[in-house]
Amino acid sequence: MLSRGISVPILLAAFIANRYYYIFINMFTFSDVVLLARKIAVGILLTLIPFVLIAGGIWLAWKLFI
Amino acid sequence: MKLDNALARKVTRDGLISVVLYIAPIILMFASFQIFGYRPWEGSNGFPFRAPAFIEAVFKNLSSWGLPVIVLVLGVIEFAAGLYENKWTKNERILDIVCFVVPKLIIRPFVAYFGLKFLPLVLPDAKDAFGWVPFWWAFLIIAVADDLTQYWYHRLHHQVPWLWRFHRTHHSATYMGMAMASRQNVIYTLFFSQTYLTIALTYLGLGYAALFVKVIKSFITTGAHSSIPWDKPFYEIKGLKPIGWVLERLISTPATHHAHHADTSDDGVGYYKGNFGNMFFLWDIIFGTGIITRKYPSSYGIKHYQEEEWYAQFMWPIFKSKKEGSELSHNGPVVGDAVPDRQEPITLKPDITTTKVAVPTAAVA
Repeated sequence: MLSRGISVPILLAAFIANRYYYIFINMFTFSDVVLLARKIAVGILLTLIPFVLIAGGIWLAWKLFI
Repeated sequence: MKLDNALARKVTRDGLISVVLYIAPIILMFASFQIFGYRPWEGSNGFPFRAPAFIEAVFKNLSSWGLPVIVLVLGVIEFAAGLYENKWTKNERILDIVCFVVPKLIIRPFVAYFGLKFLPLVLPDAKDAFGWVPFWWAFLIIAVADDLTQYWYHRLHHQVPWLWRFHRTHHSATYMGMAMASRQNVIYTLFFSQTYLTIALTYLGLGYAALFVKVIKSFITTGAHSSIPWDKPFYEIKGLKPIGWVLERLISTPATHHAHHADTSDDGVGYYKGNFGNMFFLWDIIFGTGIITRKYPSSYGIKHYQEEEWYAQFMWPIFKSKKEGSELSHNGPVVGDAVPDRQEPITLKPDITTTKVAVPTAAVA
């Protein structure tokens, strides 16, 4: 028989799993990981392109000036 | 669902125009150096701009805790004034509050790591490399860089169907108010491109200007989402009309941004397929993605909203909605921001009150 100290968290976990099983069983499938990776790639591109244009633009213009 | 060819061509064309817009402030800055013989990197920056200490303190405090407090107070006033009507259900309430609080706690560590650890690692010698850039030029560079990047981030989340669901939460509410400015899916907020771009430019030495841009931008975007129509006097009072004309083309106003949150584009007022600008509306003018009507839509939201659970709206795709057929459910449809065309079945029932029965004359006879 489980001691009280162990059984309470197990019961609590069972209750949460039962109540929110739908959330957990459909959590993060492989296609979600792919989707997220594509989304992050778009974000990186949208950061990197203006950064290269601005930082590279200032640096290049400054090099031409000095 | 893929981008159609005409849209892909327009995105490419506008992207190329954006390249020019990003570098325009730099070209203008160096042209001014050439004209005035000014070489700030040689130590000739004799008038480095510093805002008065009081102003600087105001902006620093606004940037850290002041703006969230202002938004909170105005949000409470909006609620007390009944602007949310009866639409602020328990689910919407939890979502708005979670979206307002949680990103402030989890995004700062990400941004801090990026600025304090990642950038020194990949660009070790670049810290403050452009610290010589005069304040007002840095202000213009940051304002364009930050807001044009957010315009593209926002526009792509509307026009690329598979990105839409990350932005859907921002449009799902059937009401408009202060809370809408922060109502976003956490993944959308976490990977805001303009945040990381501005941090990177801050690392290069443009940070002082970034502080002022951030505060001004926050005021404009919050004001545009607000249900307080602060722009109305500019359309109604004769003396203010010329200012209004410039203002509505330059920055986002409640009228133009509320139109973006409308649930239909058919009434000539709402325009959820455009008006993507955040701080500047100018991008919509340049790229032809905006409409100005000076009117406010009669209803907000998205037609195919199923009042999905707050956790699904906040955490999709990590958590899914239980609602069948929802975009946010497991294997949900990729609808995009457009209202799906629903073919209503036509019922062909005979109207018994008006139906006439032709009686063959032969039978009568």
